[in-house]
Amino acid sequence: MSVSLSRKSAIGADWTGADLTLVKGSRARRGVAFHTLYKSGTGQSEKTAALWAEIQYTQQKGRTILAAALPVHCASILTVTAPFASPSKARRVWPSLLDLQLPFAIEESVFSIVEAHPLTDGRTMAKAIVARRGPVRNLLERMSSSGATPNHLDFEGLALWSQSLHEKPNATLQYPRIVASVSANRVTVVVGRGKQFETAFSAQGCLLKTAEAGGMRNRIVRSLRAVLQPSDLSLSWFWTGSSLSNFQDIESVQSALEAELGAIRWQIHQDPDTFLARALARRALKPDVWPCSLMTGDLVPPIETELTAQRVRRASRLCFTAASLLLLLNGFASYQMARQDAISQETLTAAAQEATGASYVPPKFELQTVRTFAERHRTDRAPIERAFQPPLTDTVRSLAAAAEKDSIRMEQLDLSSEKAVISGWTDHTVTGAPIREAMEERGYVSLDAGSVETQDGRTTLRYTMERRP
Amino acid sequence: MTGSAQAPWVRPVLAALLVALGLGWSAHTFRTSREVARRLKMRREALAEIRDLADSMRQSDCWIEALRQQGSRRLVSPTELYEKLAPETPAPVAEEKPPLEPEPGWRVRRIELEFRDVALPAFGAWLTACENLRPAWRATRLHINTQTISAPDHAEVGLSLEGIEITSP
Repeated sequence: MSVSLSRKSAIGADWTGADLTLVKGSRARRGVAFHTLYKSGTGQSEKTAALWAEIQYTQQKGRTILAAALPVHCASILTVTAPFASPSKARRVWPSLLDLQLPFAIEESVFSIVEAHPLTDGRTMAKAIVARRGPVRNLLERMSSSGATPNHLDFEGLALWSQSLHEKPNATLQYPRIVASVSANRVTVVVGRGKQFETAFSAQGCLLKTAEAGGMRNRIVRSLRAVLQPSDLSLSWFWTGSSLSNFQDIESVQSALEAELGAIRWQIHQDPDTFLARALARRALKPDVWPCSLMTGDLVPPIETELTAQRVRRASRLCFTAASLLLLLNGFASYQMARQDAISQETLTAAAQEATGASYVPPKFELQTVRTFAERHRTDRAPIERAFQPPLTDTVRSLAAAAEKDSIRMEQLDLSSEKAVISGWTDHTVTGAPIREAMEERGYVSLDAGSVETQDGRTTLRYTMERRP
Repeated sequence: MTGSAQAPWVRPVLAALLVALGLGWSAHTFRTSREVARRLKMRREALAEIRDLADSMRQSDCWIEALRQQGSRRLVSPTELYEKLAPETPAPVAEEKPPLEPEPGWRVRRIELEFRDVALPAFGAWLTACENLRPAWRATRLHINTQTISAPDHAEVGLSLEGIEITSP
């Protein structure tokens, strides 16, 4: 189990040397804002005890991460190649491939794959940081005895390298970059090319003491010569570290290194005392190109396990609540729908029963039943309806009056309450409009335009009409 | 058995199952709601039509009530009335069709009459008298043809009459 790093702030603890430096990094709008909590002390005072207690409280609340670094000399940097192009397949064989290269069993180690990229020949190459569990556990126990319980363990070499690139991104990318961190009892050197991390090593001793400086310089130069290539004509050298401010005679060390390694561009990172602590805090908060977490499996502190359990419990509670609400809403909605459905069916059945006078109307056939009943009812009661309509004689009288107006002699009339056929003639030219209008007033509509023909001075008329309800 | 030793995965798995159940039921409710909405719309439309039909059927109840108030009287025979009004002219050929029964105790009588040659003023007076009787006769069909008759104001007439009798109010 690895640690999930999603907190508001992270505290970088640089305890790689003899002294302790604590820097708090907080998420800000642009990157991370740093605040130094403790600098260059032994970490054993009453002040630090109170500080650790405060940090542990915020850790337990899940608000902050305490990130520490595994010193370079406690770990190995290994390169492994898997015979697969698929990253997921390659991921499965990294432990076996590392096991082949290690002088101890993989089960006794902690490792972190910090970089994996496919090769042109269909294989995948990865860089791993591997350390024995024993020294890692010792380091964590040493910190724990002082009251510190880190929940993230980074690798010192990678932290220095990525912070150097972060702070000086564009400086002399064409030359090999060397980041040298000077602490009271050792010098850590990280080597890379362009943006690519290559290796890291450390030389024990104090570079500030003249007696040890020469021997240390020689060890560093020997290690660098093994890494650098003959074509590397110039180097970019970045100084940093908690003891760099005490380094009075840096020019003589630089001159001696130039004499051995050739032309070197010297630079010093700003605020070198808190450089590693800043790096640890930043990398714990923001995703980095080389993520590294060496606190896995049984090394994960109980705080983190408890926090994970808390998160799971909280998420479960939230899910329970959301699901209960959802089920409740669905239950209510289903009940309401069923109720409305039943009410509308009852209303329809009752209306159909009332309209037809039947005691039972089959469901889904209400409208059909009422239509059939209404049709039969209408047919049965047609004579009663006709008794209250104007009599046909009224229509005949209107028609006779209209015909007389146009001097039309009616020859044939076929009239009922549904239709009318009228024909007649006259000796002069007429339009026949009065007849049509008289019939329209009674509700009759011409099925055709009506036939009005004039021939040899005699006009014949014929209308076929239908009465509309 | 102790309740405290609960496996750590039990709670999240139960929560996930409950969420899945909630989502599944939500999907089902959504589908059902569309179906129910469609049914409700159809029923609303059917109910509106049923109410319209019921209203139109109820209208004839007023007419029945009005006719019932006239009491139970028998229809006068139209041919007898014609003989009374125009005794010197030939009586029409009459054929009575089987009566209808729109309501229990009600009878609709229907008679077809044929006048071979009738003076139209006399025919008009007789038909108006028929319509003014209580209970009244109503003409449901009228056919007048003057082409076959040469005398002026005379015609061949076909007529259907209909009258309602209340036998037991």
